[in-house]
Amino acid sequence: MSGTEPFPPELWLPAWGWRVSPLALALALTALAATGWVLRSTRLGLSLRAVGGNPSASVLLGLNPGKCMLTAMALAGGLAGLAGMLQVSGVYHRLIPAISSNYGYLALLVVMLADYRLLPVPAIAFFFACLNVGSIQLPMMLRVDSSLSGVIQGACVLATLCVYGWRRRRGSRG
Amino acid sequence: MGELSLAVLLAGVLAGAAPLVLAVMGETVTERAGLINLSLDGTILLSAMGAFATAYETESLAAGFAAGALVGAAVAAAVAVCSVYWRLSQVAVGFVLTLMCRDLAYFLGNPFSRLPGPHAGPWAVPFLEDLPWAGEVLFRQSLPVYGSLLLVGLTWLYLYRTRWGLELRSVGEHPRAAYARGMNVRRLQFFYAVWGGVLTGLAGAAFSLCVKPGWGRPQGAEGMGWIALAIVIFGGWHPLKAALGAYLFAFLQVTGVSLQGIWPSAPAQVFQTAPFPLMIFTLVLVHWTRKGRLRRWAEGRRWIGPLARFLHVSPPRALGKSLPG
Repeated sequence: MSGTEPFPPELWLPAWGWRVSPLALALALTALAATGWVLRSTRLGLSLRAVGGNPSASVLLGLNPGKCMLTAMALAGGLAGLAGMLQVSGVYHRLIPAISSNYGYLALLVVMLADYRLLPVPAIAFFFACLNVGSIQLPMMLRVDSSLSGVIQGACVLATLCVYGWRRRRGSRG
Repeated sequence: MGELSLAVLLAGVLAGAAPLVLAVMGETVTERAGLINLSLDGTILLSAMGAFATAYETESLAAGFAAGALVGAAVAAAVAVCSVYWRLSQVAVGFVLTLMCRDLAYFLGNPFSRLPGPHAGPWAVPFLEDLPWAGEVLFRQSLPVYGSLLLVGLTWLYLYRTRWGLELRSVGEHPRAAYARGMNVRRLQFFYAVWGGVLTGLAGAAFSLCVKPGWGRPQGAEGMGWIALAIVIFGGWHPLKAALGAYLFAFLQVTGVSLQGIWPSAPAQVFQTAPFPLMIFTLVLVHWTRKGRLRRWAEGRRWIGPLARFLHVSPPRALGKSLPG
């Protein structure tokens, strides 16, 4: 695999026994808590939810949807940048072309599976990570391609989308 | 790359753009009917794998192309059923399917990777190939290239010169009015989604059987579906302008390869990735022409005015909205 030389060990994130970095874990949990706090109990979160719920009504409330969306995009981009930092300094310890491991796409799937709520996100993210880590063994043990985990994740999300859609339709009729 | 003749360059552009043109025409028809099929990227890979595997097993190119079309139709039908009949979010379903199909293609295609298989070579048109310049550019290509060139004209004719095309556009512009005029909006949308899926599947088959023969991980067609989606917007949902966009993109890719021969010192990644940011830049330009103030500024100027009018596009009015109730 192409990529840069590994960084000197001083630049690696400190890690415990089996390659778990306490700093990375703490960062992830802080990001989760901060996102929940911003969305639930700040003015910014309220405006974001208003714009997402109904852009034309939020204009009448004196909000600027473009500005709110730009803020949200910038915050999300910052968090994605943090994820990239962890990939480089905590996981691979060097820069490789496939550094993102498709986590950006995977994050969208996690959010869809959680039906755009925050609480189920850690459990789903953990489940998806288990699938990913487990599938690395597939080519060695069963001689099948490791992308099986992606197929399972996609099937999960598609089935969930259908169930949510069906429920919503039943709710609107009954 | 010393003697880079224009004819060779143009022939390369036509050949390289063939799958892209197929996919772009399919998506143009689907979006004109008001439906967004976001699963293009995964569909292309899955149908490329299906086409190659079928052609490898049966040793028949026709069976390969048929398998590709079938795979594309199946994925498009899934998107259409979910969004038209079950009214799920088109974007969400398409996005999940694009990721799932890509992984499914890698998973199922694993036994076929890096195998030498059949591929569609050039097939010169008798008599016409001897034409002095046009023969070299146009008539010594492979079958998918001829197909893609014909398809551009046929799609334009269908959309703007037939009654069915008028109905298709009216469904995308104002589904309620179309419904009131007695059209079965849902059935039409489903039909045109599958139509687009068939063409996308053929695009995938054209990749694995003609342009980039063989299957592997990566295949080389990754990202093409997203580019096709961008080109549909660039082309303003008009088949001729969209085809122009596809050829422009292929031209950038081909010149990238030859430019690399001229400047070997520049890193290879620059020329591989340059078409993608250029595409984003053109989309930004297209967006700017929608702003009234900029349009008025551009109107009076000699060069910018016509360019702005050419770039100015508006989507089908009901694009992405399913028929309520």
